[in-house]
Amino acid sequence: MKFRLLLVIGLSVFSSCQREAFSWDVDNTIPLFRTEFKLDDIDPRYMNNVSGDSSYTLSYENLVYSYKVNDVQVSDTGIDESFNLRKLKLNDQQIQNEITLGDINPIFKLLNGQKTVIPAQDQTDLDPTDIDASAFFETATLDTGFLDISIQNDLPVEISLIVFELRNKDDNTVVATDSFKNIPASGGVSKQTIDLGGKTVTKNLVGVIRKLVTKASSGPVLIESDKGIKVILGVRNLRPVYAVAAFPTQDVINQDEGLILYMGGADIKYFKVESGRLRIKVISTIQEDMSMVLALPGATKDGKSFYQELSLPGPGGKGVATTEKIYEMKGFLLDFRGKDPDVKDTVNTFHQILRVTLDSSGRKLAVGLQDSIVLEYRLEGLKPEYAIGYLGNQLSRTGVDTTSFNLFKGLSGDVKFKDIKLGFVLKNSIGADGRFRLHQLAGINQFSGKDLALSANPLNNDLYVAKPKFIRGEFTETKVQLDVNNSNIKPFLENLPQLLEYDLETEVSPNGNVNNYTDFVFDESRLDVIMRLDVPISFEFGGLVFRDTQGVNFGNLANLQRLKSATLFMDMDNGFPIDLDLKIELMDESRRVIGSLDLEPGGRIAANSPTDFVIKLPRDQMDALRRTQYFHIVAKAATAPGLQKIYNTSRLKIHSRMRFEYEIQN
Amino acid sequence: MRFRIKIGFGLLGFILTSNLTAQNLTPQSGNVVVTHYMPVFEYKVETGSNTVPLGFASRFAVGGYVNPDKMAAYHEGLNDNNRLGAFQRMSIQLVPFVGLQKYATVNKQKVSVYYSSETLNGAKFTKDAFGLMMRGNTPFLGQEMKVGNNEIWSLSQRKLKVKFWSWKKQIAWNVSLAQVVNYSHIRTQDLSLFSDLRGDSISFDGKISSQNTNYQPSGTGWGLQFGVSKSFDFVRPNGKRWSANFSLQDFGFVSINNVKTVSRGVLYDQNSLKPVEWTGTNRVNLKAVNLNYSDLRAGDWIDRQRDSVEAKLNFNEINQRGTILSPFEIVVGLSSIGKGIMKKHLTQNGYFVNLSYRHVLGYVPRLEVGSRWFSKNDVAIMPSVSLGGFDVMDINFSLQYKAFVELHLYGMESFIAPSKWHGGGLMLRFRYPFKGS
Repeated sequence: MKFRLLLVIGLSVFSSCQREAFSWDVDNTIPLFRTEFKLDDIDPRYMNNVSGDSSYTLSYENLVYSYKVNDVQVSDTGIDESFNLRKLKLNDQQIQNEITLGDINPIFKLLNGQKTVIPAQDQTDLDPTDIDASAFFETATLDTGFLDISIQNDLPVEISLIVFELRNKDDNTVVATDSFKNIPASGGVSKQTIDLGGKTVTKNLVGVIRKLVTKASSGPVLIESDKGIKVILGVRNLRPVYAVAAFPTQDVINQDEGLILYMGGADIKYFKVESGRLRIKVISTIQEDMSMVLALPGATKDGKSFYQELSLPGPGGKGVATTEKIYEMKGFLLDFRGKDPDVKDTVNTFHQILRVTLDSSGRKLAVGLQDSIVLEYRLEGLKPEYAIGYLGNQLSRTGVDTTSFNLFKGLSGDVKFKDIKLGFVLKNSIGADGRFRLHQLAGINQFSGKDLALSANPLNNDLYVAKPKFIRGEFTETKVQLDVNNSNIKPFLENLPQLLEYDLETEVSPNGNVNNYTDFVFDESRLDVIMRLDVPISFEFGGLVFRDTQGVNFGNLANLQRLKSATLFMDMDNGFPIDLDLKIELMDESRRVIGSLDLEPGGRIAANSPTDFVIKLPRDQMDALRRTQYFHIVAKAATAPGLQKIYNTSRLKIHSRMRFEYEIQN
Repeated sequence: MRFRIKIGFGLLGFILTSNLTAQNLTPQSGNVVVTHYMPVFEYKVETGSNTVPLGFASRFAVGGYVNPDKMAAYHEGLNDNNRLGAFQRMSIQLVPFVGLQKYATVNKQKVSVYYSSETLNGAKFTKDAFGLMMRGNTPFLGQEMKVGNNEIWSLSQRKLKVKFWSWKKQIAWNVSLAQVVNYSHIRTQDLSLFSDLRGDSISFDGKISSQNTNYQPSGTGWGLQFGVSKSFDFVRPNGKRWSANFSLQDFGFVSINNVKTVSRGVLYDQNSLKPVEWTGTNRVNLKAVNLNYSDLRAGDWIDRQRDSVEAKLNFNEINQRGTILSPFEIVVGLSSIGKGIMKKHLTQNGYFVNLSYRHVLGYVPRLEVGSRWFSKNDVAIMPSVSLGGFDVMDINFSLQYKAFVELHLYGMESFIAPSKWHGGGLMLRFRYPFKGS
């Protein structure tokens, strides 16, 4: 037993045996980077060279506030209409039937061609005659309609009385019965109209002469047995409740009118569409195919107005046919002056023509009062590229609010500038006149906690801005120059504010529609309130502190835990007239300080001279470096007494290499 | 490894000392030969170099840390051409013994089973290569480092070996099945590096390749090897008895998979671990990266420099597999056999000479000459001197107590002054049960 146990233990030990790593430290020095810093690198837009002098002038703009007019946007607008059978009709039609002399009395057939005296006749219930009304419909239950019965007497004798009855052959229901009196011979006509409202008529009809009374002839007359009484049936103004018939081509919807749109309070004459669409949806239960024409004479693009023809096929026996179409309106110029601006020039009114036509296929289709066409016509999400009209009087006050002032980001300390000029600029690209008033402006330095209100005589009153030309991007500027004579701008800026606290007011079209609907707005139009600073880079500071936090990324460096120490050598050639005392702290992901870099010599970079800078990271700092996510850099700058200028030849050159001890394992 | 060995031996020692009442192997019947399989444990470590002292070589072999000061001292003592090697093996054998414990002998009619874990390392390198690899470039700023041609090789295997005897011919055979757990081979050719005095630029040229599997406990290859040994005795006309022996061990092949190869200036085939061709290379100059002000973001410029270096060096990477000749060993020996008459406390019993060669980088043929001595309490002692092997010269000492334990010490002079003398090793072998009646 012990032998086996020993064996198992022995095998386990040997099997798991792995040679411990052989490790040692290597000390390597590698080149890192070289760079050159000049003031242009901050942002060349801000740095201007003074002509005749290679020094710099700092030009810096800070947007304090930007105002846009309430968006001119068309509320989604449309038409929802429903059309049913009351708008449909059947064709007026006529058919003709003849009842001959021979039909009236067969004996006349034997006398055909002879002249004889025809005695007076009085007959009842002559044989019925089939009348085919399929030309009208298969069947129809009529809401309204008229049947005109004309009796033409081709007999050689006068008809004193004829009672004519019209029946549905299938169920023998009476459609119409009427009496005709004293119809002259040889072509006399008598006509009666029957109201078909509420009656059901089928195509198979039967005409019956219930009573025929004729007068005797005045003498012998030629007997023509094939002549007789013509019955002419005509239907007109048929409005069926239900019909199975071939419907004729007809307009079921026909609109030509102006559509008024809500523009958010503005009165708009013209509107160029930046985005938006026209949606049309037709839902029909009518079995027949239809077509639609939509024309917008006031919507033009590339010289052509909007015109669309749309096919609306019937449901094909399946109940409901739905057709939906969306038309993108981007790029269209909409004329909102109404249907006929030459007659009546209005605003916010959009001319549209809509016609829906039932296209007769000749097929006999069943249509009832429950059938309908529902039309949804909608303008959606229309936004302007520009709009022209009157934008309305809009007054806006911000209340107390803040914005950042990034020129002095991270700075605090004691600085003196020379010749500061600050421009207060109202930059207006809204196509309307405007008014501006500054109620309050203060600058706050976040590090010292000091805030200083701006006091400036030129800003105590309203400022007015004019509208620019109607060109995209065009603007007008109203400038107020602040200097040491008309304001406290120097101490305001020497406070090095990072935040501006303001309260201001803007008004569009303060005097109303004085421009007679020629105001305009582009999608990007706005009124910007800008502070524009021009200061020569000529300054003196006793102690100006710059702060910056830089994110670092050591995650890609593999096996950082084997790094035992590191030394960063930075050979600096400082061409600026500024002494810098640097301090670099290590921060973790929560921005807590977890260590600092040891800088030699003492973290100082002297003005206008070379410095060999060494940043050490000894072994006991390696753990902090591995956890570092940010470098917090604090640089205290000082100049020699007196105002110093910086020239475009001033450079800070840095040449860097790194030495590191690293453990290798094999 | 050293840590685990201590645990293993501690456990074994505890078990052994707690069971000193061993089995009685005395046959109960005079005519019955009883064979007992007993475990034999062996640990062997052998290091050597023509220039590098034991303090470095031992850590190279078994692991450990060398501090920068010592590394600098080792570097100073190197020649232009240096070699270094190490061999380490732990094994457990089940050997069929017959006879009384203290005089037990191997039953040659039975099979032995042998399980081992072994690592073989070898290196040929220049002084500048050692300096650059072991110390970095900072101590050599402003100097041209002629790294030249170097080679470092390492193979770790686990083996299961079966030994059997061809009885009549007295030839011992063995066959082993090996599992590769680690392989690496680094080669350089015409390598040179110059670092500017201030470290502002580094200039590098030459060819280099690195083949590596990293340690794979579940195996990254296999091998099949065999061994044979034969001895025969003869008597000279003057009556003196001599014994000659020949041994060839671990001869075969090793097939290795999943070898990650990174190279520059070398062409390889995916199915062969030998270079196909050494190609020309261009000199690479590494200088400071030019950055804009906006690019100054720590970590990013370190990444950019590293990326710039990698792009310029243009290393190729492929995965390979291949077969190599296993690191076999040949031993040829001749020894005289004394009469065995114990006269004094310590009696000399002949001389021996062995010539051996191990097919591994850094090993040169080794000649060992020594004598055998016996004491009355069954202790055999064999002092010897050897030339070659991994080392240049070694003073060796072996001790054997009955059939229970053997201890061999190689290069004892390096134990006395490990920072000065190079080469050193030991082998310890013992059989369980340890003691009987």
